[in-house]
Amino acid sequence: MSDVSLLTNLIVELRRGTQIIAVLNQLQENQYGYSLLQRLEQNKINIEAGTLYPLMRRLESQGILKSEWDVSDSRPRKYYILSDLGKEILVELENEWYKLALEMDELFKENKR
Amino acid sequence: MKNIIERYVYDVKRRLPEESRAEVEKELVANIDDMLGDNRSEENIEKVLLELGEPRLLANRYRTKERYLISPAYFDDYVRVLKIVMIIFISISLVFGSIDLALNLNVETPWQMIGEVFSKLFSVSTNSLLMAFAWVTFIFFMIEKAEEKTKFRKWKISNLPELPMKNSPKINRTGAVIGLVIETIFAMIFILLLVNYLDALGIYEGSTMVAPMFTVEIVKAFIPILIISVALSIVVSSLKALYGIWNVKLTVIYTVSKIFSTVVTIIFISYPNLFNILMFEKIAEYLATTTNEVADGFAIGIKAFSIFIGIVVTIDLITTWLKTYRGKRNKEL
Repeated sequence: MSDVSLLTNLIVELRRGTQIIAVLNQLQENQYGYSLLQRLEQNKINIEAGTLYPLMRRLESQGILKSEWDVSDSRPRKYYILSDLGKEILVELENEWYKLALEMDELFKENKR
Repeated sequence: MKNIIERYVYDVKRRLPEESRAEVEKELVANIDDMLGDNRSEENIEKVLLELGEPRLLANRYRTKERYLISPAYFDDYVRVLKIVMIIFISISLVFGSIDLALNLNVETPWQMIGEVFSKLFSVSTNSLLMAFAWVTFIFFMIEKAEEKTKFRKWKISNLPELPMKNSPKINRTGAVIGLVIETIFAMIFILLLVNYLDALGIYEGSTMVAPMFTVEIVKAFIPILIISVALSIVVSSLKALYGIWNVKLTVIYTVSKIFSTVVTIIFISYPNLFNILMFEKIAEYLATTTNEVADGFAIGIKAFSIFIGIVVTIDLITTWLKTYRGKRNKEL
C-alpha cells in the first residue's frame, strides 16, 4: 500500500456511518457519557470523546434519546437511554445493516474470480 | 497552570448559542470529571482535555446547524459575481475619482499634482474593491438566509446557461484591469497638466520662462475634446475587462474609440501654431539656425509621428477584427 493515510481516511469514512448504530445499540440501557465511551471501546468501536458527547446531545434533540440527571451520587451524571422513537429507529437501522452486509457480500462474491 | 478545566469549558461554551450553554457546560464538566476518575493531577487533566480536542471544534460539533457565510454550494457563483462587480466598481470609482480630481484639485506644483492623482485614484480604487467585496458577500449571505427560510430554490432545465463560444478570443481580465488603472492615472496627469499648468510649460533660463511651449488659446480650445477622447478610451477599457472576450459589439465600440482618439491626437499635434513660435525662435537661437528650419523640423517630426501612430492603430484594429471574426465563426460552427 503506497499511501497509508489515504487508506486510513477511507476506513474512518466508512466506519463513521456505522457509529450511530453502535451508539444506539448500546443505549438500550441507561448510560452516561463516559460509561458509553468505555463500553464502545471494549467492543472495539472507536469513537472519540469529543465526537460522542455532542452526538448524544444531538440525538436527544432529535427525540431519539431521552435523558435524566442523576444527582444522588457525589458526581452528578446525565444518563441517556433510547426513547420509543429511538427503539423503532434502532430496529430499522439494524435491519438495514444486515441488508447492506448481505448486499455487499453478494456484490463481492460476484466479482471474485 | 490554573483553572484549566474551567478555561476549557468556557472556551467551548462561549461559542455556543445562549440557550444551550448552561446545559452543555454542566454535562461537559461531568464528562470530564468521569474521564479524570480519581487521578486529578495536572498531567491527567491535560491528557483528558487533549483527548476532547480543540474547543473550537468541539463547540462546532455541539452545534446542530452548519454555519458559514457563503456555503460551498454557492461559492462558485459568489466568486464569479464578485469578479464582475469588482470590475464594475473599480471602473466607476476611477471615473468619479477622475471627475473629482478635475474639479477639486488644488495644488501648487506639478509634482504635487502627480502625487495627488496617484494617491486619489489608488485610494478610490481600493475603497471600491472593499465595497464590492462587502456588498457581494452581504447579498449572497442574505440570499442564502432567505432560501433557508423559504426553501424556494427550485432548479429547472430552463435555468441552464447558454453554451459559451468555442475558442473565443479571450481578453486577459487582470491585465485589462491593471491597464485600466494605469491608463486612468496617466490620462488624469496629462489632462491636469494641460488644464492647470499650461502657462508653466515652456523653456526656462534659470527660474524664468523665456519661451512658452504652446499657444495657450489653441490648447484650451482642444481640452474638452481631449477629455472626451480620454474618457471614451477609459470606458472602452472597462468594457474590455467586463466582457472578457472580443465580441462584435465590443470590437465595434473599440474601433470607434480608437479611431476617434487617434484622429483627435493627430489633429491636435498637427494643428497650425499649436507650438508657440517663441519656442521655435529660442531653439533656433540655441542651435544657431533659423526659426523656419526649426519649425520645419518640428513639422516633419509631427508628420512622422502621425503616420507612425496611424500604422500602429491600423495594425491593432486589423488584428482585433481578425480575432473577433475567428471567434464568431467558431461560434457558428
